[in-house]
Amino acid sequence: MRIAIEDLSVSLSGGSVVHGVSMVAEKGQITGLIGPNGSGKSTLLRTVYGHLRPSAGRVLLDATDVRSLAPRRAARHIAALPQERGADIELTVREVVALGRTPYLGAFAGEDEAAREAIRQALAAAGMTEAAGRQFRTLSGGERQRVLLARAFAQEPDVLVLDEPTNHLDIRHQIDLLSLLRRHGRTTLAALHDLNAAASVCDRLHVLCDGEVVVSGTPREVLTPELLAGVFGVRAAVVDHPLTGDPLIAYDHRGR
Amino acid sequence: MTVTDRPRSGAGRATRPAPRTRRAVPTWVLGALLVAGLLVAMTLAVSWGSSAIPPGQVWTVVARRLSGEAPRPGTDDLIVWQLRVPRTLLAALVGAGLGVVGTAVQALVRNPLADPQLLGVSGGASLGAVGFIVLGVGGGAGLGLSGAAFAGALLAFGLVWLVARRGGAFSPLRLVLAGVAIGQLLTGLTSYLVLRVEDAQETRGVLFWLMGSLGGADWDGLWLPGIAVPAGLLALQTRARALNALVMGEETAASLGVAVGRLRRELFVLTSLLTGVLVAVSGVIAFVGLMVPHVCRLLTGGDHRRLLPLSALAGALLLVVVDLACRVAVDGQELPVSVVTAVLGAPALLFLLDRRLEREP
Repeated sequence: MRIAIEDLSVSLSGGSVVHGVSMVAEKGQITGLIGPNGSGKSTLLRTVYGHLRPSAGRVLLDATDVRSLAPRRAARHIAALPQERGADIELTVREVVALGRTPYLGAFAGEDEAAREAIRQALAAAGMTEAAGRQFRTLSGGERQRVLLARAFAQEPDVLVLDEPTNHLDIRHQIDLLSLLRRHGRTTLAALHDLNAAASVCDRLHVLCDGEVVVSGTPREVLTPELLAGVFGVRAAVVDHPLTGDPLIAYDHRGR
Repeated sequence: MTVTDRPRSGAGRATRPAPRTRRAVPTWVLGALLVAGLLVAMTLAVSWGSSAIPPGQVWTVVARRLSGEAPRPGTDDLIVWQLRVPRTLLAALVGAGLGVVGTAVQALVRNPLADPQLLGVSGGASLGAVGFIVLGVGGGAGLGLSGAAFAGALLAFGLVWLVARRGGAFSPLRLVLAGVAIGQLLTGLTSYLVLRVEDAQETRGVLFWLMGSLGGADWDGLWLPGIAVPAGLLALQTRARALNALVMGEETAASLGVAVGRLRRELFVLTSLLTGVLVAVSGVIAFVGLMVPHVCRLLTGGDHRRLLPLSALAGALLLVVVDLACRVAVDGQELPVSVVTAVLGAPALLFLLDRRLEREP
């Protein structure tokens, strides 16, 4: 399924944070959302997975307005990995992943075979099968992130919404996680901090600045020295990656 | 390059047997143990006291009453059926209620130090009860002590609701701040009323109530907690999955299809009303609602589908034992419940937290 965001505006405690944003996350593609801190990326994503209510505009799942669906029904189509990491909860890895079945199971229903199979596959996809019995809070940051992603997989969603999924991960775990997303092949809408990661992983990029989309396109179209200077305020050259051929941003860390 | 050659989790360790995901003690065994312990403790609680009645005799009296046979008049029947059985049942109900409410409030405000007193309701109930004892407020309306306490609890609940809903969110921080502020305000008013009492005997009665007591138990007073506690447990149990999601965080809960705002509102109403009932029938009992959820989390983990019923059983067991201790620990004098729960609870809680902190990576 695809996600179409149409003319979306969001206000938080009176102030408009996102205004008039339109974008599409195509079926099976990874769509990246980049922009400086405070540009409205998280707010936009929270609206897509139903935590925030838009003040205007709508989010379409294929042709259906997401807000016309009951929250439980919407959660069967859209799963999210928010920035909160639930660090101190007393659940095992399997129990955390099993939370992904919340939208499917009634109050007193036990896990059915579909639930068990979805949990098993999600754990396997994230490479966490062996850790199923461990306490979630004893895991490393990278392992936790994989478990939380497995929870989103267990939701069997059509669309994944990820808010800075590689935050606080070391480079090895960042690459593991992103390649896991690529292999998974679902419609994915992700806010990414690391522009080089976005350049090699995303099919399309949308650049958000002060709550508005300023540029959209393929990474090569979007990531230009002019944009990096104008939106992010940094001096950088964009070259070809010597190994992959993807755009590679070489920042001038000494400042302008 | 030993670092990069490290086997990737998943592939490299696939030959090792998967660790057991099952808990050391299955939930049903824990539940059965707690039920058995509760039955034993209740039997002992009815049996022990200023005049001891053998456990066998206790069950004979109870069986005779339950079978509808005409009771044999006598002191055994009076002591067992009219005095100690209702008191023990009340202790079990209140303990169960405190355990369940403590678990739910800790999930609601996402703070392991939260307890049923946190949301301010107890302050209102105290004011109602003390106002009734000292000024006779509510006596004209035929409320009685429990009725006045419950009316006070409702007053506090209304005030906290009005403050906490500003901004429309019932956010955990706002709930806690509103509950603590209003609770303190009402507690201050209560203290002022207590100071105005001149009769020493009356002061003692007031203080006793404020520190919790199950001495007022009779069959007529059992129906309210007897309905409220099971109903509250059931209502929370239907929200157990949503509670699990809420503990992960409100954004996660929303992404899992939980209507977070509505859930918080429902939890606030449920826990406040149940706390109001409990405080109205037993006064303010400290530590049970704080400690029981922690003990149960250690035993069974953080899944609320197991945690809520086990908290009910463990709370019931704890308060039955504590009330027994209150009655028999000091000859010729009954102790307030909170004295014993605090003396037992504080070291136990410190021990548990210590162990838990040691397990941290």
